[in-house]
Amino acid sequence: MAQPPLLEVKDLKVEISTKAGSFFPVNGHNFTVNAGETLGIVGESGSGKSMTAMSLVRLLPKHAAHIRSGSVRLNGRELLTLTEPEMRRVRGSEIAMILQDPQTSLNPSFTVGEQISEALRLHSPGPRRTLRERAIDALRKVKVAAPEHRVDAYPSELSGGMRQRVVGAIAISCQPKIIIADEPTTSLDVTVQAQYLRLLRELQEETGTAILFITHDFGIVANLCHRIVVMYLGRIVESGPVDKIFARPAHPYTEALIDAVPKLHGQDGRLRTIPGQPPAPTDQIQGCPFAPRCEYAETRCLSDLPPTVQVDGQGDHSASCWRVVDQ
Amino acid sequence: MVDIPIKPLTQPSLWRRAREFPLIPVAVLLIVFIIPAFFAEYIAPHDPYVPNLRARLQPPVFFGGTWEFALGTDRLGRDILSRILHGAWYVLAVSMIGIAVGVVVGTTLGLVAGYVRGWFDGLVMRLVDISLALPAMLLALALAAALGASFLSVVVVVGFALWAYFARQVRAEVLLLRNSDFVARSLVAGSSHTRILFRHILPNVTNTIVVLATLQVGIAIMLDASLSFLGIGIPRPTPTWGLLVSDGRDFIATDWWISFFPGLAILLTVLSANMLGDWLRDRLDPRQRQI
Amino acid sequence: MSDTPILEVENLSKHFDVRTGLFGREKRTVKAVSGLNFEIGAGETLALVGESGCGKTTTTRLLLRLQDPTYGSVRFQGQDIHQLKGADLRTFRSRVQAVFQDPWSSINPRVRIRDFVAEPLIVNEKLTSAEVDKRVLGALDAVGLRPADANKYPHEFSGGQRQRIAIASAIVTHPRLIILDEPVSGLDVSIRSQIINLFKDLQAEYGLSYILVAHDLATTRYLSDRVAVMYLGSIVEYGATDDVFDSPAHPYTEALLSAALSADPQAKRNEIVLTGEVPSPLNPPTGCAFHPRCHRSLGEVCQQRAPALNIRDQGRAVSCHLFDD
Repeated sequence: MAQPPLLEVKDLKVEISTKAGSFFPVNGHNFTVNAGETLGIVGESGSGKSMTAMSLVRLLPKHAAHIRSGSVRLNGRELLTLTEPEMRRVRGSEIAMILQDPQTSLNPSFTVGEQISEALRLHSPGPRRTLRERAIDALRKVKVAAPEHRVDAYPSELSGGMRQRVVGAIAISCQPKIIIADEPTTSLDVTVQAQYLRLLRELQEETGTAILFITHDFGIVANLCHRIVVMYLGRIVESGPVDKIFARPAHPYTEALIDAVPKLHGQDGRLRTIPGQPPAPTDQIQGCPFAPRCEYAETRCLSDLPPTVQVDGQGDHSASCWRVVDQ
Repeated sequence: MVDIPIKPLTQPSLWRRAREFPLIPVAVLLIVFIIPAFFAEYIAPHDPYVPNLRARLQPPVFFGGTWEFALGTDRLGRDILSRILHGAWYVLAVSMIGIAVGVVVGTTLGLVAGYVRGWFDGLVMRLVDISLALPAMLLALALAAALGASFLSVVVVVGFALWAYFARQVRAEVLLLRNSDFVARSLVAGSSHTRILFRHILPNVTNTIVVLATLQVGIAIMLDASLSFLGIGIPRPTPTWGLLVSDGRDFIATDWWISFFPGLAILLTVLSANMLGDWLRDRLDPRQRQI
Repeated sequence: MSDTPILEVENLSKHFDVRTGLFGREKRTVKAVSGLNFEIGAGETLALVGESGCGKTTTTRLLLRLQDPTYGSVRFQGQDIHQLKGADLRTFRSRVQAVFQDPWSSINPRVRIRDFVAEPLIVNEKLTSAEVDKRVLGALDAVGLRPADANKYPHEFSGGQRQRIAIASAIVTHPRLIILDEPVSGLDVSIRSQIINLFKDLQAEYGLSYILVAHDLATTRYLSDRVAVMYLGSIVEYGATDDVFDSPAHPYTEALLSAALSADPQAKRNEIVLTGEVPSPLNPPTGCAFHPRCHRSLGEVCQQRAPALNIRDQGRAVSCHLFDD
């Protein structure tokens, strides 16, 4: 990792204020994404993982959520101080987004070609004919059969898998440096999900784009991501290369979560459980956010927030837990 | 690294909090509509029915008139303010009973139609279509011709004009609810259809009914006023608001106050009822509730 | 399974008539489910696995007597459930319960927990209110909730607790069979194992049978004894769960298992990515329903002739021409 990271997030804090009070769904995040790599952000509902994605592209719900501090640098350029028109140019051309349900993110009243061209035109205008050519190119890249024909089809004329590919085509049409995908496969059947993940991998190999993949599914993470960031109640509790985290999770939450998922190749005995219920994002917890449910918790865990420290000497695996600090 | 200065938490302002409960609409409704409806006899300064020819066409106070007839008098010298206050009761009675008829008929039909589907649903929905397509005025004219205009005929017309909205809305919600997991679970548990309708479905549509009913108050009052204005409402001498507006029709260029103040009462009441209804919808409809 | 099965499903089929075309002139038949055969013994768990459109939902609705079959039968403790009336029907209703996927929509938001849990008792059995209370508190205790929770309303609980409430209501009548329709997929990952363990504990304690409908194969493997893999309304493979998972016979089972992602980055998968999607049941393929997507298609025979369910040793059955003798 000699070259600087593609995306560098430092001490990012997002605050949401409601009638009942305010809380930080993103509370001091530090992470990086390198060019061509896939970073998985893993967390349960309410952990703040979607808020993290939205704050990177500054699409937080207006009035309710505000970025309070921190820095988001894309290729060394600070995004948080850009004006809104500048930010709009960044979105789509440098950062593309694939949202939760690929099926509903296409407008049913426009043809596939028009929707891809629209994305293209916003960022690099050109005559209608070349836009159409480029739209066909983008469809070819995502392996849509007969792209010259499909470019004039409406979304309703395409199958679900084909629509996903079109969403993928829109995302890559401007050659973004990074694609943020927010749980794009939760509503899909397993075999269709497998097709989709393979498509993402192929696009990455071909274009070299980085992917930030947000999910709650450890299966996807294990199969798609190079590195992962585990979130719990607005904080990053562990981050590192996927092989290391699965082989030797350092944070008790990560460890318990990996053990709690049944294994496909079968197992006997009871599943490991995590006691209690996931906290609401509004819960204010002093000390380690996971301490109330942690089987190793000591008194200091409840009172003091553990710092983020390196797990081993190699500097790529870190966790925020007093047990790791003591090692 | 840049530091974005930490902005102080924006507290909901007093104005926003005040807006949360519709204080002004509720106050207006009470002052213009509800209190007069029940206490007109005690607060009205004059008798609304007895002509007083010496005080004919008095202008309102501040327009050359006196405090004795604060909103002026009509061409028979009757006090406009007293007539508005006394009229409120009839407007309230007609709109409330009319809406109650609409709620009962519409909810029952919508509930059963949405739950049993089939030919009954088809029949009810065609009736809804007919009711929505048929102008209420036409029915009012027909009823007035057949039975003579009366309190009853006006209530029937209002109920008839409104039931279809309730039936359509309730049916739509029942269609969703009957496919919900908790209804399926209750069927699996062995509940009868009556039990499911009354224990599981009806309680989940009451919010909708309350909101819709509040929003219909405005429509009911407007309808009542239109009927009276056209002379097919509650007959004279009852001072319903529509009749009061109608009374000043011929004098609007010169003695404007005869129509203006009853019209203002209608406007304020309808507007306030609608604002209250909007607030109720925001509060009670979980689909519209945001963080 | 030496004793008689508690539920026997024979040739169960459900067809819907659908009108298409501008004026509903064309009438087509959708075979949502056709020719299902399986049985469940006491204390056993059978899983139905498949993707959307495979007929899982219709099957559960038929088994719960929420719909009537076009033909075929479901026998519970020897009696055809679709013929039951009166007291027999009430017995069936209290012996067979269900837990649904979404803990937010499966509980009426306007009913107290006590009344929600008690409903199957109240409508099926004549008990005094003291007896009902005792049973409700017993059920809440069995699923790990406190007696004080009985007086609360659903909105006071989180998703995992709501699923416990739904389970309490399902066990309050001491049923023999519970149909679990995607019972953990609506829950947070850290809660799922609590609920999965609860199902195991309840089964051990009460000798319950489960029919599990799930799309998560790892959960299916953990919870079920036997599995039926469904595709487009039919069972394509059937057998003991471990056998089917360790050595899938049908190409669809093979593909499904290869698509399931193991939470282990070291696991090297033999990835079979199917082309295309599940066809519309309105317009099913000729011959074997799976042949347009099959990576082991034999060609003509698969396109023309639907394979029969081929019973093999150890209760294993496969519906595929590859195994025609």
